[in-house]
Amino acid sequence: MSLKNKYHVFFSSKKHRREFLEGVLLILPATIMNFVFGYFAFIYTFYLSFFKWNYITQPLFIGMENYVRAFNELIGGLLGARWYEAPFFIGLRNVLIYTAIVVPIQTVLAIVLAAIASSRVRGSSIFTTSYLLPGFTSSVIIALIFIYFFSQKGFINYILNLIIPGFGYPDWLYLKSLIIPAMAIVAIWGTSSNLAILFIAAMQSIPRDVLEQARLDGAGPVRRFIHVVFPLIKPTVVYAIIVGTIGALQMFDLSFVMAGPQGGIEYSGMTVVLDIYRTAFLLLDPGYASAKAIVFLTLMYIPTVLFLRKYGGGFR
Amino acid sequence: MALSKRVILGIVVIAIIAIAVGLSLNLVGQQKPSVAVVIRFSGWGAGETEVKNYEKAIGQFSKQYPGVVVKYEPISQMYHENILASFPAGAAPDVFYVDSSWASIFIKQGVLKALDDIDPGIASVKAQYYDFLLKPFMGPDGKLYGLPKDWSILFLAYNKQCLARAGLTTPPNDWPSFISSLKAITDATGKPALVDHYHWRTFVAMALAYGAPYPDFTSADSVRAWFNNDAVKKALKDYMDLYLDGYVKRMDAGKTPYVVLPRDVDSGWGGEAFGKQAACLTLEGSWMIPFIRDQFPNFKYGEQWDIAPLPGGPGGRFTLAFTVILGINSKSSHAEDAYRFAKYIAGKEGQEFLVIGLGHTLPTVKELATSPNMWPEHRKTLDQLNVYNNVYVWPTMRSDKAGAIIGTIDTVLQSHIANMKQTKTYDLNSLINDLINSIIKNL
Amino acid sequence: MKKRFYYELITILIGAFFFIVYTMPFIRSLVVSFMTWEQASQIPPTWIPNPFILENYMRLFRIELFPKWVINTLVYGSIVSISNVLLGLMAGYSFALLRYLGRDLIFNALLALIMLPMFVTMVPLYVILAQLRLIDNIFALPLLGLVGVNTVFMAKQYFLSLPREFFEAAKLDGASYIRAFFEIALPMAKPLIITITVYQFLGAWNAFFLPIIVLKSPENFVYTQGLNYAFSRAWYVEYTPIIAGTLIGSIPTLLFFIIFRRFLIGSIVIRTYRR
Repeated sequence: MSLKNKYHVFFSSKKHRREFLEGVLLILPATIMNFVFGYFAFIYTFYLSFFKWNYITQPLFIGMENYVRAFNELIGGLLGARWYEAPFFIGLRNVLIYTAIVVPIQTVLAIVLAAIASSRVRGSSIFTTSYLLPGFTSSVIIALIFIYFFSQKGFINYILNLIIPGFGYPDWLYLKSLIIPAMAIVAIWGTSSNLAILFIAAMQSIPRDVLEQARLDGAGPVRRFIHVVFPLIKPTVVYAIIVGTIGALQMFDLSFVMAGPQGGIEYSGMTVVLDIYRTAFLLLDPGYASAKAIVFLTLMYIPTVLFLRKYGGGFR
Repeated sequence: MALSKRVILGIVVIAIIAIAVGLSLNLVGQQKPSVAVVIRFSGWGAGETEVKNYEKAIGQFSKQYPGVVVKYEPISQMYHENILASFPAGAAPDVFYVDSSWASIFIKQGVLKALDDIDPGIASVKAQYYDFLLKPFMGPDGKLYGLPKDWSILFLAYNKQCLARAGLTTPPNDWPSFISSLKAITDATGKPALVDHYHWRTFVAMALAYGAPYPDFTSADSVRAWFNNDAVKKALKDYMDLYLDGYVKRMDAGKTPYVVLPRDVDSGWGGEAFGKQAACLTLEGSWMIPFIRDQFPNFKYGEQWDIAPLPGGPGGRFTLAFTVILGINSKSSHAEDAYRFAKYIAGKEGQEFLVIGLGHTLPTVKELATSPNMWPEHRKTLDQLNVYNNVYVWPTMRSDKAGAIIGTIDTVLQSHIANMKQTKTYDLNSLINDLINSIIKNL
Repeated sequence: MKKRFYYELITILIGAFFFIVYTMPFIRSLVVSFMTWEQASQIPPTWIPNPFILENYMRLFRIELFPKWVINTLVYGSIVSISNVLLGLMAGYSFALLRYLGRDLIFNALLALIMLPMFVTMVPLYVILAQLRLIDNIFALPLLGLVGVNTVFMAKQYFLSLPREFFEAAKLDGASYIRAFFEIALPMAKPLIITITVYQFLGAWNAFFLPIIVLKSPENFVYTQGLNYAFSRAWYVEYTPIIAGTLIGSIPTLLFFIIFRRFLIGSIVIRTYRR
């Protein structure tokens, strides 16, 4: 059927016309809202990234200058510029370190938690409840609690000194080397709990007879997990890694609460999104903030999409 | 599924109630303007004492002008940046504080209304105030952009018992002997002697006393020239050495440090550490006085603590003056009422209540300087003014972007102090380079 | 059998270890919230509040704006919950069960937005809201979240999983699609409605990024933002009231979690495996 014919049939049939009208009516609110706040906003960001503006005066077209500035910060940072010259670079570096710490640990932990929760040993339902609770609690609230734990005479230093005698009493949030690890610990605690739900669900959906068969074949719990359970939850693992990575790269609230809106000492707690926020709303440079957002989106998404292409086939 | 039905019902009921309550509150809130004008007023949330006192002052105002409702909305972090950012959205308050260091950028951005355009009789209003306190708030057009609500002097507060134990009655009068007295005070009392933030405020006061020229941060060259001045370098070296010797090395040796940051003694700022008697001396301004009375009523001025002028040096003896205006939003739809409120709070009557009566700071209205009700501690700071060769008005630099520059300087100083704690040393030249480069980046 | 016993013992031990790790911050917070700051900052930590004080909670309740923040959050949460349920289910139903030109194209275009992170659109969102005079207005937040792409996606998957016969029957009756939605689809979607409500409500309760961009004056703040604001005044170092505030802030989470635990876990199955 040619396209023209298709349209003809479509609009000539009363039933089809009605289905079309009602169907569109039903999706209209969702479509309009998301197109305006999604696509339109995205294009607007792209547009703004070519302008110098302070929200008040007339925007001034400056071509690629904002992008040049962003890349100068990145390259300058790589070449060892001082921190105040390259917040964008420091944010990117911090967020990569943070992601590298957080994603593997939280994924493994989540799997372990889910395995315990699904093990049906005595007490497993109490365990499950306790494991899932942090995941439903606001990250800001978690961060506020942990600021107290991370203080010099706080709980974390106390525990660490119990485990490792002579660990000392570092002031985590005020040390350049420890503030990102501190945020990572907080994040892992919250997000592993969040991801555990995914894995619990994945493990619940494994047919019981498959596990039963493996048991009858004489496989112990560890071997059963490696050879039966893991292959079946592998798509969830890929999914958790991707979601975890995208989330970690965009980290903002922990940094805002634990390091402050200025990113802490020498920007040691800065993240890219915090830098974009700061540029847009505190330094009042929305054009530059937009350019940074576009650059980061490109840097972040190209690898993610490539990864998806390669390994993600199973989960889509 | 029996449970879920009830649960859904429950959720829906709760949701509807919540919305109804929220909407009705919102509607009540929106109906107010028809009865009265609502003025939104912002300042930085400078601790519980100041907030409490402002609420009292607003109460006084409402009694006189029942037609105007004032909503007080202090902003905690990055005050000036937040105010600037709320302008384009039309969400800025009608009346708000502007610090003298931010005044020029606010005026330049056109967010403040010139009082000359609201009040034809502004000349007589201006005449009530000290001229030197109005100056930072005059635009290039010669118009005035806000009324100074109060002013403060930087002084040296000292714990009398501490000094007595070290055999002193007052702190030494010049910086070198002041610095060398700190160790003796700590050794005699077992308490940290000085608590300081390590920021521009203390540093510039010190540098001027050391003979530095008035800071000129209008061009890259002038920034470089100022930091390469010998007196500036000497002051910076002494300032940083003080922390290195007085904190870092003392801690390493397991001794009580004789200089600390507020954080080092679990305090938010110098006044708190001083009030808690966690340190014997602090360089703070008039704003500390009501705070101490309110939060530490048993720590009495005159008996336990006293006020001395800042130390001097070869360049002379100087202190800093701080002042803040109540500015009017240039886009406010109630500019007249906003001005009326500003004129009340910053006027004679308002200051008599808030500044003199509640002991807030110092009055900017000239005739109130002789008020018999002024707190003795404030009186003393005024009496000490004649000790000084000059009083410099904050931000103590020539620059259009002083607010941002001060933020930068403080951050750089903080970062070098933090590094010093770890590496047990610091590099004066790299500190100077960082200061110069980061300031230039703001120009 | 003995071997199995050991495995079980090890699992329980590991499980108990993580139980401590994941509950400790809450337990410690609960204890500390009744302590003076002096006691709470002691090392080694003590566990029994002495003196036992309620001052930390009182301090929180003395903040005049405290009830306002709770109400703002409830308003935000209620509106997004209801609008997401209604508009999201409508769209999901249409995408799943009706057939018309452009349906899949629009759906895929919507789905792609899941990948668009917030930081890319925040400046324009701010500018749009400023144009609408909605900055510093609590209703701006539900406007941005009226109907999430996630919700539409979940709803579509849910309706696809239902037997089609229900709807075919309605069509034969000659009922309009919209009527069939309200009379047949909506009543059949209870588990979905609960899940969406809980997720949207908790999402609003825990929101932070949008509120700090959109809301400027303290009386319009939402809870987490207000809490961060109230106690992050530069000159405030006592943490005990903050801890008390965080505990109060976790109450709705706790309630929802305990009531709907099974639902939440179950719904994940829908979300991940019915794609």
